[in-house]
Amino acid sequence: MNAPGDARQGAAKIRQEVSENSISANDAPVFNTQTQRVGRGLIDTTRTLNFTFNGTRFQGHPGDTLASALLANGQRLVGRSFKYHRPRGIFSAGVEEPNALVEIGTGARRDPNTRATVAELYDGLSARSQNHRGSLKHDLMAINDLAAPLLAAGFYYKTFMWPKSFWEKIYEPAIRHSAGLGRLSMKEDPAAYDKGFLFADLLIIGAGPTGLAAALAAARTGARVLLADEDFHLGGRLTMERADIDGQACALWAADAVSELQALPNVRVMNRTSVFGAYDHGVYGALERVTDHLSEPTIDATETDGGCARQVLWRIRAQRTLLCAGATERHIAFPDNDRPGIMLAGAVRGYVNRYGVTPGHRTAVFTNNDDGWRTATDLAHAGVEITAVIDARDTAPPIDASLLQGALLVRGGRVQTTRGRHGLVGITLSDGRSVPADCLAVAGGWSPNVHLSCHQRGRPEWRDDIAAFVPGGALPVGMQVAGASNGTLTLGACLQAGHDAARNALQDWLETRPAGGQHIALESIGTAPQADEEPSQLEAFWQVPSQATGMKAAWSRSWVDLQNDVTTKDITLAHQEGFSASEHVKRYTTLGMATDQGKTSNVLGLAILADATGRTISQTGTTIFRPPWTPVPIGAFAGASRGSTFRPVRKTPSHDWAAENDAVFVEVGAWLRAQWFPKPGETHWRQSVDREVNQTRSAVGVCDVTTLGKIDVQGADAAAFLDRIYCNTFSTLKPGRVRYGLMLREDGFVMDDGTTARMGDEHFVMTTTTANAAGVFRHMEFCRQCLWPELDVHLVSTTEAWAQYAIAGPHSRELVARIVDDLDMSNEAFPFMACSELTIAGGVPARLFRISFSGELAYELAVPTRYGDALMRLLMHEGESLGVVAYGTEALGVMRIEKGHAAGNELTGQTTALDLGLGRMVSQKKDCIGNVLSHRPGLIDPHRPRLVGFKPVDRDHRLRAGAHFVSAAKAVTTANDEGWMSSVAWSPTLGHSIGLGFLIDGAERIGETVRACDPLRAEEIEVEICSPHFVDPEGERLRG
Amino acid sequence: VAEHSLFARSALGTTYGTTGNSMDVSRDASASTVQSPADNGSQHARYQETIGQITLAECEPTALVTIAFQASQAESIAGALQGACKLDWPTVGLSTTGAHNTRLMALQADQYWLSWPSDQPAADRTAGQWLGDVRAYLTDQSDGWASLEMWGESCQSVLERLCAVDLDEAQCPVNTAVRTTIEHTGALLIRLGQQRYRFITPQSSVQSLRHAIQSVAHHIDNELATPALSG
Repeated sequence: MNAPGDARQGAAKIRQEVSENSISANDAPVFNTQTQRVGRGLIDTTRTLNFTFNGTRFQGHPGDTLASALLANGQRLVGRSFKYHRPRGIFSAGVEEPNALVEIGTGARRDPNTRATVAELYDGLSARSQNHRGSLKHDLMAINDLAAPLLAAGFYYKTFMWPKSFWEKIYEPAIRHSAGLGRLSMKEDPAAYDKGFLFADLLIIGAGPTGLAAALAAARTGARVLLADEDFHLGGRLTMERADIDGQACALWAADAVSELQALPNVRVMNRTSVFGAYDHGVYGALERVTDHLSEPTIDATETDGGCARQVLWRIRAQRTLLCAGATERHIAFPDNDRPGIMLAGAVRGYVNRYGVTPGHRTAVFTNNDDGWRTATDLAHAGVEITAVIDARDTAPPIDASLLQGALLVRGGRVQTTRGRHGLVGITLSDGRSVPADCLAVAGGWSPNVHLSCHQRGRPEWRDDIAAFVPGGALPVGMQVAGASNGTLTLGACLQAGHDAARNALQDWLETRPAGGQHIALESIGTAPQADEEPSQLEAFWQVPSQATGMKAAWSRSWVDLQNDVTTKDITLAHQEGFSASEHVKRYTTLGMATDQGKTSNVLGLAILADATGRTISQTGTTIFRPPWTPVPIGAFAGASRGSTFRPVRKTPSHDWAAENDAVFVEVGAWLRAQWFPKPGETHWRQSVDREVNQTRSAVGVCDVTTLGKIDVQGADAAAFLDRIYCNTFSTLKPGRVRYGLMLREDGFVMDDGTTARMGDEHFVMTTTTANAAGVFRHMEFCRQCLWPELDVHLVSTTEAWAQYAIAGPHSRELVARIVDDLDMSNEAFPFMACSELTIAGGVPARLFRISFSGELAYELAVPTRYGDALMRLLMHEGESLGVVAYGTEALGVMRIEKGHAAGNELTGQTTALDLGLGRMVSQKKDCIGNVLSHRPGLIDPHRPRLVGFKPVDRDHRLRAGAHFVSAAKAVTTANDEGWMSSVAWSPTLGHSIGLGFLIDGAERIGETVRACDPLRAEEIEVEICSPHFVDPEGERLRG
Repeated sequence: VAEHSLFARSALGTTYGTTGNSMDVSRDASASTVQSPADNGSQHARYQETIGQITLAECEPTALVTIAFQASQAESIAGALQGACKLDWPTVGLSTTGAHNTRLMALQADQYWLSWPSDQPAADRTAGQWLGDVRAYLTDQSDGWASLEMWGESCQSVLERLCAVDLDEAQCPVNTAVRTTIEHTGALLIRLGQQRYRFITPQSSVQSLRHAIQSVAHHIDNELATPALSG
């Protein structure tokens, strides 16, 4: 058997020889010694898991994270730093990790920037380090470190100034290429994501000692409790500490508490679930990682039965919320404090206690508080050699130091610098003493995790006694904060705080909730668990100034933000250059940005800034914490809204028939509508459209117009209501007749148009444009409920209830006559703008409207949707001998332009009735929505652009929608702009291009010519101004 | 007047009758030569699918009528429906059931929805007969909506990933009838039983809704079938 040292050399050789991406966890040669295991902790050592890191095979156990397994195998170097490409190792044991970011998975399943400290180990896991060229150990970009004096904060703002054009093309791409973190796979994410909703009386965020004590208390009352924690093993710090609760080891107590809670029907316990944001009205966002810890690829979003959702994004609505998110340890700034092996002290003992892994064989501790001593004793208890405990305070050890025999104990000491290129080998104290150490545990104090308390603009407050910020100001609605996240930093106090907070939250809710509801027995809440208080004194201490002189001083750096390579020098430089506000310093230096959001660095950075500015930390203040607390994949936010399921698809009643007839579909809102129906031999869409137009105008055409909005308006005051909604009058409309209506917005501009049929004295059927159907209905409901609640009027959307077909063309009367059961179709009996309820095809109820969008003799026939498919087939069958053609939206559009009807391109929300040539429709005999404001001077200016038609002077030219009109001999400038072309089409009826548009004094300029200028396409043609009614301007056809 | 018949078809493709007055799918060939999907042999049985612990099914043809009214008429309408259908008057957010398998859903203060199994068009006439002389405004919505039912042990797990309704029994007792949104689709959710729900959703997009439910149901089923997740 090889000695550990031999094994490491062998592994190094393997690393050089093995391609990173080509070896799976089970194929790669084993580099597995797990030499750093010193106990079982909470992992399952009876089972072994294989995984690879940079192609090298390692082994770990269930319960390990990738970080603990790497440490168990002696892998200290795990990445390169953001800017200087410094070697970096695992720094923490939780979500705050700034260094150990890796890519996990392969191919499209590759996840960059995954924190190894929270990545649960599974069999076959494949991980790679990030941000290096060449191997991890021999990163070519490490040359950046040699140029460190040139790469201070903001260097690129000052350096790459000329030539100006180089910034976007050369400098920025080069900088982006050499800096950064992981790589996206650039492939479609094959995973599926769900989104859901949860409800609770009490949401408890965090299942550490405070959260568990709160959950136990609340659960006993019968309240609905939701306990969420981001870890896969619940208990928070209880999984990492040696302490007793109620006479039981704290980790066991936590396990029992979780079991008790899981057994209760009123409690939902969610592990692997990060509550990442506090939003309006007591809604919280949470991400549940369902399958990230499983070996098998779990999902394929393209398959309906494609496995499990990888993650679920939950929106949680809770009556009350307890934030029990704990605290994050911070480090101390001293020269070269970033080497692999330098870690947070709480994390070091966490690895020992929870994972049975010691990060080093010879560990030194540098602390400014009692907690650092706890790390030393826990490690010593596990048999790890402690070489030194350096306390920045000049106080007696807070614990019995007998366990630390042989260790150098230093009061009032400082770590002045460190040694070790790819990993720590020793430290040097300020007094010059050298201490051997392959691990340095740094305890700089604990910062309460206040983040979620700030998501509704709460501003945290500084507490000198713990040298940290605690929640302050206005908390999110219904939130209380308890335990370490509220600055309570000892175990016994946290347990009591959680218990009390649960009682207070439920009491508060019971006092304010509506009468009735579920019984909550506050008297059953019991007593808080008990634990001894541990020493917790702290003396604020932030940095050790460099003693380097001369050239060495330029390279001497003390890191504040490890993820972004921000040093104390960067912060003082920012201050020197005028950035003294914390938000400005953040943006100038990048302090606190990226995936960790400065969890370990924010307070330290503020302390350095406060020192530089001569202010207190309280005066310096924090930056604003915003969601998310930890990164959330975009895919989770999207959920199922992607690809073909991005939005629901609405299909028309004739969809299947259209598909059978090779229709080309177009999305209109969520609807799929047939755009045209190509026939064999037609190679261009315009051939199809021209045929459809010509055949409709010469024979008869059928078009599915079901998508137009339909609103059933009923009530004794229905007519009066419509008079107020429409600018023209409907109370005079007789039953059995239809009228075109124009609807204004309150500001006087046109909102929508359509026809409304009076089916009875108290019953109207309104149609809207397809796009505005929902908006018009909402507007009308607002008017009904809020403006005129006294009116007896009721609205029901019936868009979906009726399949409706336009039947247009000279043979349309005959076609309709063939299928109606009993109706006099003569022009006298059923004239233009008539409507009727009737039956067709032997008894099917139907509605017939004689209206025309095409300008032809035309009808719209509606049947209950169940008959829509059959009616389309029947119309095409019965119309065959009449030369019937199905036409799509494109032909519809051509014919309405030929007829001069306004549509969406003209009803832009910026045009008035006057602009559209419909000014006389705004009745002055009554009031209506928008009437008053439609008379504003700017809206009745006679020189506003008015709707007219356009033809190219050279009929071979093609008009362009979007072109702007400029008079002859004037420059093409905004100042000379006289209007715009809103709609154009090739008119098969006229044999040339035609257009509708808005032109200043348009109606008075018919016959003149202007230039239609299209600078975007570099086109300019001369056009003739004409009437917008190109076909049948007198309306003889539609009335015929 | 020509002689024709029209077949009726649900939004999920089920062909279930002809010309309004007949349930006979085998039509008189002499009346028309129009081909229906049924003629082409593509008639579908009513959709039903079991996915793990839930079953999702298209409901039988349902009549759906909106009853809108002035507040002063509520008592009269309640009395008429009690007399005709033995329907109690529900408070907003709930529904009641009565004779003819009717269900009365109170969706807003001045608008109730009445449903019952029926394959006949013009359901507002039937509702009008039940109301007699009582003044109310009826709109036949039978063709605007499609109905799906889901039942089984995983109902709650599936639904909590689809809609923002608190399904706790204290908040959502049996016979609850609420408007909600499922994957961007407006829908009515009716709790028929402890583990049985009905979705009433716009017919044009019911296939999208069905796909959304199917996807989540498969995810839940696969989670239950994965020992590492279900244990």
